[in-house]
Amino acid sequence: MESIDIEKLKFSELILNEINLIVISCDKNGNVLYVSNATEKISGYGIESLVGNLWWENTFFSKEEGHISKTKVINTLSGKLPVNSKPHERKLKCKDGSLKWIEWRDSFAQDNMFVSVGVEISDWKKTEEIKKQSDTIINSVDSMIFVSDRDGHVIFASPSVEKMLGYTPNEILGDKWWNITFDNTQQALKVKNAISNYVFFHTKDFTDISKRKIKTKDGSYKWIEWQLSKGVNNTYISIGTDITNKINEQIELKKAKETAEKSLKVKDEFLANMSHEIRTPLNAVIGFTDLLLETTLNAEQRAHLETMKNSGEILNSLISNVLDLSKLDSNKLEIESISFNLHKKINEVVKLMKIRADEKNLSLELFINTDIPTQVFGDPTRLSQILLNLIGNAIKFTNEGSVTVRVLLAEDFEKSATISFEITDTGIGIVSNKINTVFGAFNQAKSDTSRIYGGTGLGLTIVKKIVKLLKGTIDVKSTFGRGSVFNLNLPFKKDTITTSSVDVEVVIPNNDQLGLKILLVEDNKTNQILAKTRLERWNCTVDIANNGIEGVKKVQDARYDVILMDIQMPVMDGYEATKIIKNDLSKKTSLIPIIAMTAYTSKSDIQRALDVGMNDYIFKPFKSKDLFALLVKYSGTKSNIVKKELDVVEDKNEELNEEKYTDLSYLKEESFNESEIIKLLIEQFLKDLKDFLIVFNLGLEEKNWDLLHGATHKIKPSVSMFGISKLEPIIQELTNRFRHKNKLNEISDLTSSCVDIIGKVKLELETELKSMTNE
Amino acid sequence: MSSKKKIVLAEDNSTLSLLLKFRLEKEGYELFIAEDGKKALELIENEQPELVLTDIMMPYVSGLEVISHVRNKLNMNTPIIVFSAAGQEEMVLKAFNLGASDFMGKPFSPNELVMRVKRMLS
Repeated sequence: MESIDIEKLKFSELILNEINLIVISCDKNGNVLYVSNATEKISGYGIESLVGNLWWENTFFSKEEGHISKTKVINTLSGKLPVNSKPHERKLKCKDGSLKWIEWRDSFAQDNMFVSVGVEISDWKKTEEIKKQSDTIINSVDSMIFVSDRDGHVIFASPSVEKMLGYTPNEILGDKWWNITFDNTQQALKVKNAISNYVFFHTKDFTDISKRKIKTKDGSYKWIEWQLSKGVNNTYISIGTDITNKINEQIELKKAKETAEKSLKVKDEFLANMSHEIRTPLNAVIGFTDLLLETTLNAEQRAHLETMKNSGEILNSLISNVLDLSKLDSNKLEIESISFNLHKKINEVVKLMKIRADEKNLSLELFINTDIPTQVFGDPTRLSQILLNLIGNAIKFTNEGSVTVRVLLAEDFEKSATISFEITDTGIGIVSNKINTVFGAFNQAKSDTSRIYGGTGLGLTIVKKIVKLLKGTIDVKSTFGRGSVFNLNLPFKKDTITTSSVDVEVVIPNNDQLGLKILLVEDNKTNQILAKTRLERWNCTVDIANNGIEGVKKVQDARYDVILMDIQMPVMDGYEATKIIKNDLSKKTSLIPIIAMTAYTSKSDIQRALDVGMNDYIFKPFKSKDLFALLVKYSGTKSNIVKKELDVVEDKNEELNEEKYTDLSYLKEESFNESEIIKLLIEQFLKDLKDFLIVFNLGLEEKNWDLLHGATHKIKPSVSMFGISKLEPIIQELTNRFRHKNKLNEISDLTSSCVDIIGKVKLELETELKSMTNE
Repeated sequence: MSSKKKIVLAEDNSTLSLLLKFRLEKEGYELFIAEDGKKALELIENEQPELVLTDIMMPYVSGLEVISHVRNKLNMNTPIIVFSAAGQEEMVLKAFNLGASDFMGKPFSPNELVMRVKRMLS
């Protein structure tokens, strides 16, 4: 028996040694008597450090834990505690200090022995811990995490989906995701395919899969940014982050940018308007100074007035410069390309500057090389502006000596040429370290330069910018104290078709008596007096109209030789008034020359003036000489006298009709004087007028401009058919304003006279109708 | 040729259309008046006129839409004369592109219209 037991024991010990199990046994006092070989291997301790009480001391996380466990075992062996037969986990402290997870099973053996068997589970435990950790991560991050299969069916969705979009993971599993987060199944399909192509085939199409608007459970939308990656087993993982705030910020930013740009535009417009506003009174100051200079004065008075005029002109050029610069900065300066005589233009500029050079006793020389083409395409206005600035500067900064302008051919091609302009002076020159700054705004070479020589410091800045616009170059060489050389190169296209003609200058007669009857349409009181005084000195009779409507009325009341028309006016501007005078009144009024007086100097403004039928234009502030020349051009002298006599008869006829608002002659003619149809027409019109007034009042009350535009547009033909000439311009103007939603806060005058006239028209037509029925 | 030639006139100003109706009926045409484009289309479809006169700016359905509908939906080659007010030059171009046959700028003289109509229908 005993030998068998020993054999048995040996055998089991052999097995125990072979297999990787921790086996310990201890007696009722808790002394460890046996540990298996594997225990040594796993814990790293030799058997001598594990037996007896050492087990409890060495293999536990802490001595206390060891003590508690030992007590538990003793209590179990003495029967105080039941044996724990369930597997339990406890960390084993190894010799190297590391801890290993062991699953223990306790049991009783013979002879009141306690046996515990342990299996190492550290590896398994680790994966479990990682899983736990990744679960925590998935549950705690703000981003949504999805795992989808190859067909886009959602297999897994992290709980953050609910936080972000309001859906529980169950609500979006499978294909449900695509159905509820998209408004449009087509779009959903497109995105689904794009993702699959991107993840599995690395191809990209045009569908943006990185940022998408996702419909949330409450129906609102959120912008989600997605990161996509391939997962295991033909799946893909999408991580979605809420970027709605970011997108909103971007929209806000864009809005802010737009607002900033808009305010920049407002600034430009403000600048343009301000310049206009400053110019108008300045115009008056210069003009009246001019008028005063023509009176008898003593030497002191004359000197003061001349200083005044000079200052006014300096201020005026400063404003022009500021305006030019703001136009250049906002890229609004238009460059034209027209055919002009280059030689003549240069001569004109030099001739103009000659006066100034003479004043300072300087010689101003001009050399134009013979090979310079005569007729070229370019912008003559800008060329003069540049040359006037450069030559003007040269004269300004030179106290003795000369200013020389040389025009040379720099490059010559078949169709174009580069012309070099060299302006040399013997003036103060520029210090070498300041030479690069002369083209900057408000930079004169020395800050005290302006105090001595005056000027705005904007001239060269503008020159530089215009030269750049003209695709030319400009540079400067200078020796301080000796003088400067400005070298300008500008390209021109050659004009081989136009033969240069010799212009005949307008000869202004010495006798400055014009004797014209002039209508001055101008809203500014000061300008009115200025122009009136000026014109009356030329023996002209002047009538004044304060705005376009008054102008139109005055033209119908009296006969004028010339109309001087301001453009910008309240109630009705010069364009509109001109259109009416030229098209809608009698033939004789349409023949009266209209000269625009404008502060707008852009090409499109001039073109618009000519388009509406103005015959000519003059820029404000104008030189009296220029105005005189224009008036001579349009006075047409003798032929007027004959015409005037004929007009007297016509005027009388019109006076008889004046009390009447309607003129049925057109309708009578067109309806062959058939009273039945005329009656019908009047009845219809009265009905239309009634409807019109209803709509008109309603529209005004509701500020429904489109409704009003429709109504005025609709009634317009009737107004002209019934010859209501007083109403026509008003309806026309109202139609335009309603259509373009323009100056709508200043329409009360127009609307009230409209309603007034209609009231009178109705009375007149009703009377007419009665008399017709009586007949 | 005893039956009268039919003309549909679309014009929202009723006095003008009344006058034109009077003048054209004097010339022996039968006039159908529409005060808006919608009515005009109904009349064109029902009456199958020889000529259409239409203003461009009308409520509900504009003259341009009338032209387009006649040419593309009804596939009719009926000549169409459009009326346009000043400042609608680009509309006139659009009208021609859509298939208008002729145009007259408002205000026009009824005499001229009568002559143009006669020439177009002779």
